[in-house]
Amino acid sequence: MAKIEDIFENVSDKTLVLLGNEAIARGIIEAGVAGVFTYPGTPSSEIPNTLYAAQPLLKEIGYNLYLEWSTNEAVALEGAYGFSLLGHRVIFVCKHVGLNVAADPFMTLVNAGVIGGLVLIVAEDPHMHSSQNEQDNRWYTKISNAPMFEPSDAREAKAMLKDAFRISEKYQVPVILRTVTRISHSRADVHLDPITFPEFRQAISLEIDPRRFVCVPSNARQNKQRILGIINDISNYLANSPWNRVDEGTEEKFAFITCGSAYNYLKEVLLKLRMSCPILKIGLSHPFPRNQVTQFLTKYSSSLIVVVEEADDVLETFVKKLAFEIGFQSKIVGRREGVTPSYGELTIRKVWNGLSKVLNLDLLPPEIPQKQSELTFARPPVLCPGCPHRATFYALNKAVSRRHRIVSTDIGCYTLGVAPPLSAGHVTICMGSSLGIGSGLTHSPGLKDPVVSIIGDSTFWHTGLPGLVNAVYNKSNLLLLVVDNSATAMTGFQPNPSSITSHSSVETLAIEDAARGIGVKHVATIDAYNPKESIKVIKEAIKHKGVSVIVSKGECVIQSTRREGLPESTYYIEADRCVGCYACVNMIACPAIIWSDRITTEEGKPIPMIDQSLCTRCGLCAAVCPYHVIVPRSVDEVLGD
Amino acid sequence: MEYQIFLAGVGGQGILSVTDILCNAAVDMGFKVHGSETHGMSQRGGSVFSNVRFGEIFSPLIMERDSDVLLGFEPTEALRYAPYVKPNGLCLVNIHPIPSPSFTLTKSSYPEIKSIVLALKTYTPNVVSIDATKLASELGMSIVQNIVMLGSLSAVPDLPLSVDSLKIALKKQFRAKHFNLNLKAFEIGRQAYKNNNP
Repeated sequence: MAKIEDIFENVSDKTLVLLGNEAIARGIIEAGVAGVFTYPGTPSSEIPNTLYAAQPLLKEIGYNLYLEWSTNEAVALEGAYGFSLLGHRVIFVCKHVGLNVAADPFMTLVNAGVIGGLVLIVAEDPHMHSSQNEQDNRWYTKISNAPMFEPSDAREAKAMLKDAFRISEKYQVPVILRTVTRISHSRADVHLDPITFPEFRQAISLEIDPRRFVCVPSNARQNKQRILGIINDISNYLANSPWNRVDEGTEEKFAFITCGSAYNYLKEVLLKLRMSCPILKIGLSHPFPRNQVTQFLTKYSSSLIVVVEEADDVLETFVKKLAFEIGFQSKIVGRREGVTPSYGELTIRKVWNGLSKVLNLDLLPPEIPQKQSELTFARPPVLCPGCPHRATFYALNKAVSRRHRIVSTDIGCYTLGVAPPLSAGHVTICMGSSLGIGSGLTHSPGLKDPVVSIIGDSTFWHTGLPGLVNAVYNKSNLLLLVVDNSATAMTGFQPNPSSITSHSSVETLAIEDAARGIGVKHVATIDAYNPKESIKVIKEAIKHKGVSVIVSKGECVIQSTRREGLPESTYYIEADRCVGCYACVNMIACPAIIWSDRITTEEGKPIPMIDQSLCTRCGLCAAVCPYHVIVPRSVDEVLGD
Repeated sequence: MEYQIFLAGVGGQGILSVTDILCNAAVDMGFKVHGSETHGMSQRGGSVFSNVRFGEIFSPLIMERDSDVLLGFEPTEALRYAPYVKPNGLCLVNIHPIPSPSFTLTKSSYPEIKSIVLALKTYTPNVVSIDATKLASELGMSIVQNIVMLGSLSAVPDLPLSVDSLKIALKKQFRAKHFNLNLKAFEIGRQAYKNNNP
C-alpha cells in the first residue's frame, strides 16, 4: 500500500502507484467531500480505511473530514443523507450486499433527491472472493432510477467520482459509482490532482422542503414524477457524454459494446488477436445511453454487434431492447450466445474463449497442461493461530455435543469455524441471519436438539440486535454466543461500538448491557482463553429456558499483537512424554501445530510439535492436552532447543 | 513491450509488499503498471496470489501460459499457479514448505520437494530453486524470505526493471531501521539466483 502522506499530499502533478480503493479515497478528497459514512465490507473497505488513517494528516492541512463507521449500511446511508440535506458533499461506501441492507432508504431517497452531492460507492465481488453471493448491482439502477458510473480502472474511478458529484448536484439526485474486486484491489499508476477543501455553508435548514422530503403518499407521488423527469433531463444532458466513447477500429466485421472491468479483458484479447475493431465503451450506464448506442448501431449496422460484460447480462438486455425498438436488423450477440459465462469473474482467457466460439475465430488461447493433483492440496483460509474463536468453539464443542445441536452462525472471521474439527455452524446466509434463523429453528415442530446462534461483535450491532429483540419477544429457546474479538477483523480492524477505542468521538457500548436491556434474563461473560470455565458457563446456559446470551471475550490476536507484541513465554510439546493421543491436533486444528520428525517410543506414533514462527502463545493447546505435556517455556529455551 | 510477473504463496508471506515494490520500480522506470491481488477472507493463512503487469496492458489479471515469471514463495503454491507461466518462462521458487492445517488433520505428509520441482518442470524447463526462508533465517529474520525472492528476481537477465529502481522502491517500502536488513536479504537473493542458475 502507498504511504498515507504520499496519497494525500497536496500536489497537482504527481503519479503514484495506488490500489483502486486508495485512488478512490484520494478522489474523495479531491472532490471536497465533507462526510463519509460506511460499514466495512470486502472489496470496499480500503476506501474508508485509507481515509480513516489520513484523518489526522488531513486535519493538519485544514481538511476536516467527518468519517463515520456506521453500525450498518442502512443507517450509514441515512446519515449520509443528513449531510446532503444541509448541502454538503457526502459519500456512502459499502460492498454489494450492503446496498441490500440500505435498499429501503435508498429506493425512496432517490425519488426525493438530494441537496448536497451524494455518491454511493458500491463494490461488487464477482467470483465471491470474500462474499456470500454474486450480485450485479446494475439492476438497482433499473428499479431505483439512480444514475450509475462504471469505471474500468482506478484512474477512471477517481475521475468519474468528480463527475458523479457534478451530476448529483446539478440534478439533485444520488449517483452510484460501481466498482468490482479487480478495480478496487488492482494497482495502477494514478495521477494526483489538487485537493479541494469542502466549503462549509451556513446551515440551510430552510431549504429542507417538507413537501419534498417527507415521503407521505401525496409527496411521494410527486417525487416519483420528479425522478422520472430528472432521468429524462440527464439523458438529454448526457446524450454525448465523453464517458461513453468509441475506440475506433479499422476492421468492421465485428463491433463491440462493453463496460466497466470487461473493457480491459476485451482490449487485451483484441490485442492478442491483432484485431482492430470499433468498441463502444459505456462508462455512464444509467440512464441507458440510448443516443450513443443508437448512433453506434446505425454506424455499424453491417457488423456483427458483440456485447461483452462482467456479471449479469444487463447491458446486453438493454442494447437488444433498444435494437428491437429502433428496428435494428443485424445480429447482436452476448451472454445468451456464449460470449461471456453467466457467473464468476471475467479473465482474458474466458473472453478469448467466448469470442473464439461465437465469432468462429481460428486463434484459441494457449492450452493449459493437466494439473498435477497428487502434489497440490487445498489451502483454504483458516482461523489464525491463537484466534480467540478457536478457543470459544472448542469450549462449545465440549459443552454441547456436535452431533446434538444446530448452530446458526453469521458473517465474520468466525464463519471459518464451520470447518472440521470445530464444525461450529450449519447455516450462514447474511449479516445478522444467525438470530432470525436460529429463532425460527427453535419454533420448528420436531426439533429435539438445542439451537445455538453465533455472532461476532460488529455483526451483533449491525443486524443482530433486531433478531435478538425478535427472539426474546417470541420466547425462543435459544443460546446466543457472541464471539466478541473487539474488532471487525475480517475487513481490516475497523472500530465498532464495543471495540477497544481511544477515540473520544465515539461511545463504547457493552453487548451484555444491550442484551439485558432487551430483556434477556440469562446473560454471562466468559474469557475465551479460559475454556475450562467457558465449558461450565455454556453447559449452564444451554439448560436455560428462553433466550440466553453468552459474550465470549477474547481480543483478535492480530490486533492485540500489533499493539502489544507477543507474550514473553511460549508453549512447547514435551515430546518424550507425548503419548500420541492427538487431542491437540484433532480438537482445535491450530495452524501452529504441525508434525515433528519424532515418534513415540512405545507405539512409534508421530509426535506433533509447535511451529514457533506461527504460534502466538495463547496456550489453548496446553489447556486441551489431557496429559499436560504441552507446557509453558521461555522463548530462548525453545528456540535454542 | 509487456512484462508479467505472477506471485504466489501463502497469506502472511509478504507478497503484497513485493507487489508494491515491483509496481513502484516499474513506474519509476516509466512503465504503465497494472496489478491485482488478494484481500479479505482468502488472506487468512490461505493460498494467495498477486499479478504485476507492466507495459502495453489493460487487464489486471495475467492469463494462463502467459506470465514471463512465476515467483513462487512456497513450493506447492508455485505448483498450484504453474499453469500461468509461459511455456518457456521462468519459475523462481522458494523451496521452503509451509504445510496446511488440513494436512496435520489428515496426517498426510508434505509432498517431496524434488517431486514438486520435477512437476514444475513440466510447465517450463526453466525452474530455479532458492531456499529463501533458510537464507533469510541466516540473517536472523525468516520473514524477509520475500525480499530474498525479490533479490533473486532482480538477477533475472530479461527483467526490464533495473537493480537501482528496485532498490529505490525497496527503500521506500520499509522504515529506515528495517532497510538494511531488507537490503541484505535482497543482495543474498540476488547472489543466490546467480549461484543456482546453471
